[in-house]
Amino acid sequence: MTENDAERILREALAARATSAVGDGRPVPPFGVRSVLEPAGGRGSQRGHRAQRAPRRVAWLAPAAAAVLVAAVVVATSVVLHRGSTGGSGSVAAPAGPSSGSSASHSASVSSSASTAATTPVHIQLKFSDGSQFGVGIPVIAYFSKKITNGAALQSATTATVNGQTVAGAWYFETSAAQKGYPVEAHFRLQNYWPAHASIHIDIPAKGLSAGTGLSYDDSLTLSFTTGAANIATVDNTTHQLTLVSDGQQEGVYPVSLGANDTPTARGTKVIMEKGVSICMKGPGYNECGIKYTQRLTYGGEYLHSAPWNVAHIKTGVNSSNGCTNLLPADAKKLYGLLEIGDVVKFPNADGPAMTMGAGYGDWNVPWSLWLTGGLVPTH
Amino acid sequence: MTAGQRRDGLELMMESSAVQSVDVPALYQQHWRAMVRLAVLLVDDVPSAEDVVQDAFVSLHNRAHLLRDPNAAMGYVRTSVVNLSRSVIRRRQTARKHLRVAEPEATPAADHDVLLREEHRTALAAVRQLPRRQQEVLVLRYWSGLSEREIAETLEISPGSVKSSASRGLASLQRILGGGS
Repeated sequence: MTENDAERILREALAARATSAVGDGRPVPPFGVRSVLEPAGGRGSQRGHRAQRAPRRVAWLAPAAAAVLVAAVVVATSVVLHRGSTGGSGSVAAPAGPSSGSSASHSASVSSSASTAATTPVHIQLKFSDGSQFGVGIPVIAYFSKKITNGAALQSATTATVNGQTVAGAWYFETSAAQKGYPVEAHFRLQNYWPAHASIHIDIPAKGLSAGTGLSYDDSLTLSFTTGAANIATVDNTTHQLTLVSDGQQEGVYPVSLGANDTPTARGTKVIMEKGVSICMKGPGYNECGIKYTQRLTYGGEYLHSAPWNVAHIKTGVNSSNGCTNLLPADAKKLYGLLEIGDVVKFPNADGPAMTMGAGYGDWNVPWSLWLTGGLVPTH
Repeated sequence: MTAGQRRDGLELMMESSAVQSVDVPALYQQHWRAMVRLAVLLVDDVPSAEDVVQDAFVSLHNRAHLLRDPNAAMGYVRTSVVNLSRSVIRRRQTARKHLRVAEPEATPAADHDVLLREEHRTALAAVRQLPRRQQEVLVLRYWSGLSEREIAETLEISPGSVKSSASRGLASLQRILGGGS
């Protein structure tokens, strides 16, 4: 390869990446003044949320007036306003805090009323809504609208009951890209899986509690859900078989083909995240629709799914997938009916890298002692 | 050190109200897409890239009354985008170091490369392996199309460093890409 070739490929590759990531049709978001007090290169929130910035947008006046307004905001110690997001999931037990709901058209009054608020509100949103049934490996997932710095108050306030009996669970925090405008995500779980066939209630009376210096939660939440059978699937990379144990009884054994050498399946404990009867999958060298009976295991795109094109390898135990667990069509259909979101799928000896917390619902790969530290922020 | 402190070579205007200053909203409308694309190449995911660009223009807005020349203003924004992108990467690395568990940001975004040709994916992966400085120089040269002098001004390094970073980066790339053929 000549230098010219390398230059050409590089030029094309950069252009392809840039234009495919940000298409010509992508609308220009409104220009919002967000981190007024933070210099460029400072500690801004890594993932802002355009909708939440809207209330703080500076109305465009003459530039000089705008500069004056900025100065006013600075003088008012500019407590950042926040509109509580009530859309979404989880049962919001209390409305958003008193500082929410300010109109975008009232920039001037925003800056003056802001000075009366003592702390920056942090909004919590739960991923799941009430009344769902999950597998025993499901984590309770919450998103936070600010980079909180301390989780101890939330940890001590949160209570969990299983069939009315109080149980000890803990939050574990990490930075998150899962939900726009919510830079932090926390998972709540017990030391071991939830009991099967149980009714679970989580109470999060967070409103007003501290999330770190200058930060406090603006909502309280509850979540009620039930668990189904204790389904634990184990995929053995030696026998190339998935063994499903349901409530302690072996339900069945199914042949599989895992990831090929250059696209190995991750090792560790995964949890079914979502299900799709027929979806499209894209990746290096493939872009296929009509993939049937899919059950997602990682954000990166590992699934259990039907692979009618790969029957020979499934039957002979040859790993040849892009990382997914390929199943015979009839088996995939059956497992799709048996398993639910939250069910556990273990890959104790797969060839790939270790499954991690953030690669999916990787919670069960984090040792309980580490979990109790709280991760990103301290919880004790 | 912030971008603002580093750009003290810009013409500063002392009597802000007396002279026409740059129209930041117009610059924002005009250059938003190009700047987000530049940031995507530097931070590798769209939400972070949008935040970086938003912050860069906010930073310009806070200093707009000091800037007389729209070209200098965009030079300021471009420098901010590079510096803020560097901060994003640094924060990510720090978070990983302390957490010792992967964060979602470490996993490719949904839009990530899936639509690209194999050759292009390989090239981008190779660029990501290069030292930060070399990545920045290559992106500014082969995507933004800046001259050596402009790159030197944007990164606040000498033209000689730009030249050597570009040739080293390209040589590594050539080696990596040529390895398979």
